[in-house]
Amino acid sequence: MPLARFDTPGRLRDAPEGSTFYDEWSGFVRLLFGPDNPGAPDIDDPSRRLGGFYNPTTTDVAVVVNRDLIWIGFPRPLFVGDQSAFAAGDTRDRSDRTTGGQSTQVEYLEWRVVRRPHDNKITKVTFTTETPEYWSELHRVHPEVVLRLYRELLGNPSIEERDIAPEGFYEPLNDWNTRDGIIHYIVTSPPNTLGQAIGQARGSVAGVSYRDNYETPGGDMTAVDPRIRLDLKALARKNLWVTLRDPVGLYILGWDDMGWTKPDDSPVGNYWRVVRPASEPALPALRVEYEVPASEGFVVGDISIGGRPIEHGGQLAEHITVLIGGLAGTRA
Amino acid sequence: MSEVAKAALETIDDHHAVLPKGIMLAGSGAHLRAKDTPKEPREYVFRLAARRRIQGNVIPGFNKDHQQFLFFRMGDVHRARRWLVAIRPSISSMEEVLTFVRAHRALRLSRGEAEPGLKATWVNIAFSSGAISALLGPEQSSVFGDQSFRQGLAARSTYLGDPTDKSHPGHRANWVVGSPGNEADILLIVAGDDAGDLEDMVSSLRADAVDHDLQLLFEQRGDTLPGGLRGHEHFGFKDGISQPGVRGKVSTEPGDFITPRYLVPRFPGDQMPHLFARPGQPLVWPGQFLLGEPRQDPESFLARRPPATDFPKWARLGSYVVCRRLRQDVPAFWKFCAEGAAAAGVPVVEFASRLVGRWPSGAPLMRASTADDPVLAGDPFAANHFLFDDRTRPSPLRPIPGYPGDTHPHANADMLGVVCPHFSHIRKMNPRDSVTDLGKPADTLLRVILRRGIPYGPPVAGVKNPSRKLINRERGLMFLCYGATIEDQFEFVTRRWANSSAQPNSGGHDPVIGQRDDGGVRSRWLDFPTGSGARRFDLLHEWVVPTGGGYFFAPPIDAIDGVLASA
Ligand code: HEM
Repeated sequence: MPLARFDTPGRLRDAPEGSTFYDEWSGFVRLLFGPDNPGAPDIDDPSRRLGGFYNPTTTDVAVVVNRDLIWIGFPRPLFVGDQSAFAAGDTRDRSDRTTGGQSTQVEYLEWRVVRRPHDNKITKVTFTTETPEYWSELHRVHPEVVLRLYRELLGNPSIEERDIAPEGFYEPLNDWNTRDGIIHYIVTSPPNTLGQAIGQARGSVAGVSYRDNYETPGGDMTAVDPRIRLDLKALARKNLWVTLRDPVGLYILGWDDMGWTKPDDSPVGNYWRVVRPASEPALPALRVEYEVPASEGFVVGDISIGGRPIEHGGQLAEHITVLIGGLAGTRA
Repeated sequence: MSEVAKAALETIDDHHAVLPKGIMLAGSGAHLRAKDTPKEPREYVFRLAARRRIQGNVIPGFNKDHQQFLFFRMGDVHRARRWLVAIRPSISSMEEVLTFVRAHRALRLSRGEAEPGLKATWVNIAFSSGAISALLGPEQSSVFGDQSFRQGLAARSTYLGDPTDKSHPGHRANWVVGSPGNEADILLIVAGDDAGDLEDMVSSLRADAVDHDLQLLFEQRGDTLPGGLRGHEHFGFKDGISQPGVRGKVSTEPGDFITPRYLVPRFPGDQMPHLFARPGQPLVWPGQFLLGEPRQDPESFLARRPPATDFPKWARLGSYVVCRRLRQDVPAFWKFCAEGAAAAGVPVVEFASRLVGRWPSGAPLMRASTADDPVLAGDPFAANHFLFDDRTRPSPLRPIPGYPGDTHPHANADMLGVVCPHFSHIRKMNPRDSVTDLGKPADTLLRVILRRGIPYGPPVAGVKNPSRKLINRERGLMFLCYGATIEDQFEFVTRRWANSSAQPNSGGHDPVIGQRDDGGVRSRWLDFPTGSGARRFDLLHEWVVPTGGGYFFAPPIDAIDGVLASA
């Protein structure tokens, strides 16, 4: 049986039970998926078509593979750049999230750094994989919920509706999601949006087919784009139909803090906190905060990773993995 | 150890590759005259001056049966400098090793002997960041772009997943060399065909060093394992099969490549002969191993990117060295395999082979999915010829006298890691055509290393009824590798791939070298593929334990006296 409805990312239950939002969200995602996209002709036998991309709410496929598409959250264009690029702390880290230079955090992981004024040391880093679409849609149906969540997540009860919807409709690039806080993605080139991710997956099966990955052209410098496109395309050329797994969304799969040390050189404790979803299972997550409890007597900026003091949020992002769930199956 | 494990271990030397008769395989560095390679890509030529500067263990590699690693601490810097001037003529260059390889091959061809008694003993040298500081001043060592090198192995140990608990034998404080405060300044690598010659060379080097106020902190002898286990590591598996092919030529003469090329195009415009030297051996620009050479373009299998510049000028053509002394607990490995095999319902050797990705003979699981195949293992054009994600297509080769062609069954697609699991050591270390956590497979060419390790300690694998005493003797791998970075190559594959259950592809930790330390808890896991889905195994014990080593830099030979000794 086809999937009855697309659930919210992380099965979030932000809207009240029974709200029409859940059906509306599903309808929205259904549109992003669009109709099934037929596969490309087999390169060796063009009369035969390879597997395509399907919309799981309309098409029934016998799933044979759960494929986790996983990549590193730190921007690959910087990762493979020369070390001098790394040294330019400015490019590694846009802690102010002001509009304009939103082209760095391109791997569907965005973060915001909080520093303490007197010595500029990092005290907290918040990571998100939430999409602007989810928040815009939620705001359309439940502006009051969006306002409450902004206040809760940013710990600031003085945030007002006009701050986040100055013209009456939701503004993804409002100050509380850029200059003064972080709620969801803002990067625009290439865009970190759910639509873009689904589009990549949907488009992966089209175009020229390859026999193996050595035949694939270069292209995007990001980790995520080849990860989604080439992996799904490789499944499709095995005559499998591919799609993204419900609940469709981008997720923080996990982190690796091995070799992170306190000022006394002993291993750090677990300072990660999954904020969204608040319900179990916490992982994969949508919003994660890294902050040292006050009782420890030091801050994030006092921690070293492999002997190197944390100076940028990107040093943490290097050790975070991001996930989008893929599926593949056979179709009668 | 259980009877099953014991039996498997005792007979593991039956699994040795059957070498084909009558084909003359060119080793790395051999010159193949190639009238049949019509269009050659323009490639960088290592001129004589460069070949004399590059140390021979970097390219093409010593590859000797007996080696000794000497770890020194410098005393008086002036005397150390005099020692450097004195030792410089003993350092073997790429030119010297290439000449030997070619002479060896010529003798084999003319006399038709497999082992034409030609012998050599070679020496190479490498310096820690601290040593460069002491010799040239901290400004010089700070110019080295690789921050991990500047920090040293001990400082990076827990980042590599090594134990954080001081009471653990693998904790850096317990290392035989390279522990904080006991870090070597200089690593000498001595390698020889003849054990006696090696020992003579080592004693003279040792005496000379001590005369110059160098303190020998530690030394380790390594030897290839005897008999049927020649070329295998202590668990019993053939090692040293898969190495990247360094791009570049020895002269402008057609066919005179550092890494012999065998592929011919399958169709007009076929790129494969430009991507691979032998089937399964990818070509990599030399700047991935030698500072200041053209590097691999991060976005392409083929294209090059300009040389790096983040090093002192004199260091050009040098290479970073990682040395890790890895102790192997062979009974523990086989005990785990015996228990795992029973639980998974497969033979012990098969279970162990799925952890490695190859059978003990070296035959890859991708081409021998249900049983070892020593003939496949012995076929130098087939044993490394496989992809993971898609069916491997035959690679036509130029005519090779005596070689009938690759007649073994070709590898089928195994994108899901059912045959060669995602956690297996070779798939972790080299995901080949697979997409990874950094995206396109061309990125993987930025991660490859030149491995130059050798086992140490007496073997227990293949020994019938080993005594308790023998079992308890220490053994392991003197792991050594070269690269143009430490951070983006050795450390990358160690921390991000071996030590992760999800990278480069989901399925578990590398059960051979993976390390984890979560607040002292060191267990890892893997999802072992069985007929009825994956079965999770927790790896609670460790059979590869770091016991020493260091990060070093192998300078170009002329810099030893010309720069390091001359300040
Ligand atoms: C005691 C420790 C180790 C053992 C027993 C071991 C064993 C093996 C074996 C049996 C192979 C297959 C032979 C081959 O393909 O050449 C192999 C391959 C390899 N190992 Fe290890 N290894 C150890 C440590 C390491 C370490 C520390 C690294 C690097 C961080 C490493 C990197 C590799 C690589 C890159 C390959 C080649 C993979 C390929 O290209 O297919 N190994 N190892």
